[in-house]
Amino acid sequence: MTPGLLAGFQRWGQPGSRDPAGGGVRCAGVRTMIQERMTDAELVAEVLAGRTRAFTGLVERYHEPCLRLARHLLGNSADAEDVVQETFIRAYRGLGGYRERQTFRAWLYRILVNRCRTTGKQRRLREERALARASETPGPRLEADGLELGTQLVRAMEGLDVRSREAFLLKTGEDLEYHELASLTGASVSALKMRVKRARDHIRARWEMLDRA
Amino acid sequence: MRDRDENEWLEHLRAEYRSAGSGRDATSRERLLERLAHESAPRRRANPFGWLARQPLSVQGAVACAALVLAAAGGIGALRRLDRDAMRGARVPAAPALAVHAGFPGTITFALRAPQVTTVALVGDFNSWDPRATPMRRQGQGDLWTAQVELSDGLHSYAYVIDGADWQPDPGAPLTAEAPFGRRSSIIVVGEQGSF
Repeated sequence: MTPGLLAGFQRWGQPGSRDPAGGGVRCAGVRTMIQERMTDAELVAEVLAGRTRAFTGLVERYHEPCLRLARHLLGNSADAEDVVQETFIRAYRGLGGYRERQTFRAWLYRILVNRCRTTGKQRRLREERALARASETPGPRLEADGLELGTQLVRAMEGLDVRSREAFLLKTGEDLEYHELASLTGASVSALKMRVKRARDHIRARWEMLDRA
Repeated sequence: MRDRDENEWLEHLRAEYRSAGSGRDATSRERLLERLAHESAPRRRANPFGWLARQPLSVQGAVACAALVLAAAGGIGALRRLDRDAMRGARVPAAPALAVHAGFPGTITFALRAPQVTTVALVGDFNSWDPRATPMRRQGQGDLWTAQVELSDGLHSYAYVIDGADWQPDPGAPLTAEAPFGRRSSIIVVGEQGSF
């Protein structure tokens, strides 16, 4: 981010400033272009300096990856959407407590992964209760896993423990570095490498089985 | 050879992972930005324990610090309770309602003229800006869409979602909310003097 662009962004929207593009749509385009060139740390600093519009840049950058990750962790689009909404709201409220010793994306993904774990547990509890009720009174068969995202990857991950699934998706799907994964999960790098390898072997074996089927 | 197979498989898997979507991403992002627009701005928090890492700490110092932190936490808790109690008693001053009318006390009918559209939904702080929560009904075959919602007294912001993706403020409402995230919404004030 060049100093000129940053200064322009900081002036934009301040009291007394004029819209340099002269029109709402063009101005929004200029703002988006500036935000795209800013680093995560610069956008966070802008938000904390009171220019809250800069958070839009972080939403544009991470909303889709978060939704994708949540869908694969939960296997359900509706739950994933709710979890991502809560994640960004929590991140925004807690942004003042974010420290730069961790990358913003690792910090955001940590909130997301924790929310997914909580939602996954609550859903399993609900389903267990529903299954218990259904076994008492005969009725239509309930889907035990509640999964709707029927991609081959989701099916190949069935039977894999939650932590290995998280490590694999963050490393292979979202391209996080191992040190980011370590700061996110609290596990050591060597333990994480083992989890990713275990997950890859499990998924590869099931993937080939599904291909044959 | 096996490595090449493995890499090809991983690329294939990555492509499938990244293409998985429900087609609702844009709506979900708009909803999120609306919710964020009503949050107060975050402020950098000083790390109260940052100095501990730089200071040698004696046992007496640790005990004194713990006592200080507990006392401060108790004080803050009491102040927050007082603040909450004060907020409960507060009421937003009433003002005339906008582009909508009240039926029964607290029941508000929102109306929008929108020709050549398929769906219209009402979103606002009262339904967490969820476009699925309050779909509007077309009146006959015309272009008038309406929805009724129960609203508590006070100030509420709202918008319309047209055809599932296009977020628009109420064109008949003279007041619009601040838009720190670039999305405009409209304001309605509900109260004894505000409804008609």
